Amino acid sequence: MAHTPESDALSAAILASVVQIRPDGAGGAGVVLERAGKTVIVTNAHVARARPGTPILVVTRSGAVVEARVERTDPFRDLAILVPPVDGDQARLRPAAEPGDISRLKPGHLVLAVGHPFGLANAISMGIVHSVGPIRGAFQLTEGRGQQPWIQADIRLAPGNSGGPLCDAEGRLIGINTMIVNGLGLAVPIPDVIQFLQGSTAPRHRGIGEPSGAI
Amino acid sequence: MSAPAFSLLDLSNQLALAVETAAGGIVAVHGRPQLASTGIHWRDGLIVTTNGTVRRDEDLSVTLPSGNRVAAALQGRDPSTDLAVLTIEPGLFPTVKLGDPGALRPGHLVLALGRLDESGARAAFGTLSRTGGAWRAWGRGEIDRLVQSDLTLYPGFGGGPLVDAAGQVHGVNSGRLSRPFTTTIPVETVNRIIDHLASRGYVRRGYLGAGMQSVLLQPQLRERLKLDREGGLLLSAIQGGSPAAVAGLLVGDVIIAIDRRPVTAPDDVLKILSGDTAGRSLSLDLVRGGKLETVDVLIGERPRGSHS
Repeated sequence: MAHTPESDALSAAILASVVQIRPDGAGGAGVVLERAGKTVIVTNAHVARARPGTPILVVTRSGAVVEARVERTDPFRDLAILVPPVDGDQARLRPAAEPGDISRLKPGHLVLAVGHPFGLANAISMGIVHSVGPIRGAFQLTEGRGQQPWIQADIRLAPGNSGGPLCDAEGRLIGINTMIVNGLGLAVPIPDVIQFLQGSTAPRHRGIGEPSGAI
Repeated sequence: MSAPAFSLLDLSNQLALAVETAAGGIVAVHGRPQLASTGIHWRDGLIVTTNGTVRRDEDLSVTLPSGNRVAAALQGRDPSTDLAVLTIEPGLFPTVKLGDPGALRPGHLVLALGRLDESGARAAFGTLSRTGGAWRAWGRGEIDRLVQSDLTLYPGFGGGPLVDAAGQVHGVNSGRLSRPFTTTIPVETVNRIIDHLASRGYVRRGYLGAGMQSVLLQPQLRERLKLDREGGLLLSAIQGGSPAAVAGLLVGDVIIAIDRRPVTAPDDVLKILSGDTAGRSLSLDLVRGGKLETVDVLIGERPRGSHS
């Protein structure tokens, strides 16, 4: 990509809200978001790997080390919320820009991911939207997770990208990078992340042909 | 500071538009167990895909961009270029817009498209890596031009199109020919194979029935026979009943020319035979027992399904 003032501004905007979680290795990334005027950190449950109340070390973009606590996790949707304990720490975390509109996202749209692949801090990769929706094809995810909507991206991700942001060409947050399946990057779409942030769990989407409960 | 020449958002929208444009002529092909492959509406009523992804000859169907599934019939296959052509009812939906692969250069942005079912087209993004002249696939079919990219062919993407940033289709992505780079069978080759298949249902290639290898001729021999060329093709095997056997060719003969065209590598013979030579008589100049001889061979038709 050509070096332009625009690309500089874009990377700066995306990078500002990305944190490193468990920087001692085997960690991942997280995104700073705002909830009811307070900053929280969203990441994957498999990156947090801890019960509510557990303290976890987080490194901010500016290099400050913050001790956040796990507030809630949703292993099914693989999401976790971490809360920085004091106001002083909160001030050092910069929330991500406005969430993007994923209803307008089509195959071919550019996407950018930020994370710490193999421990390489704050690396940006670029790709495109492959498809948006449940997983189809020759592989299955367990326990109905494949039936959940995913932003599927043709983008190079690696361990360490987990929990980090997937953004559109305007730098707006559209998903949380969660896993790599058949080489495709799978991100939890931002509407499900926001619902998780506000409610108790992320929404479960019933897939076609999945048996319903007693009716 | 000057304004950027382009914006990332413009590029993003252009790529999504290119996907949408090409996807209007892309189908899912149901011709193997489990996973579908991708097909291209090349001409009205004609679907092109890769031969390797169509495992059966009957009970074929395709899923259109509208999500409707319609029956398809196999018109023919050419294993040597990994292409298969299916027919469907004409007039159902638009064909793709074909581009000129000769205009592709390394560094151009390219897309691969796939369709697996009624859930919409899927895309992959990359860069054109290499271009070049005609080459031979290991199935021995002649491919008119080398087109390789760093695109990821996801499961089901085989048979799908290589698409440029304007949404034009430059060829068929072949999973079978793609290692390590993604290899695309260019528009010219696809058109040529479609025309062959339309007339016969398969591509006819000439057949000699002899194994051969390049050899250098001894300088004394060349001097004595007044040959200006250095080498030829030593026959190392003759298949029983083949045109070579019928014409009386012998193991140990060294072919130096076919129809007066010098041959020094097996590929030279394949090139001559890949034209419309089946049923024609070709004259072979050869060195046999230290003497020059000319033998006429009635070229046969290569047994179908044979790769050699």
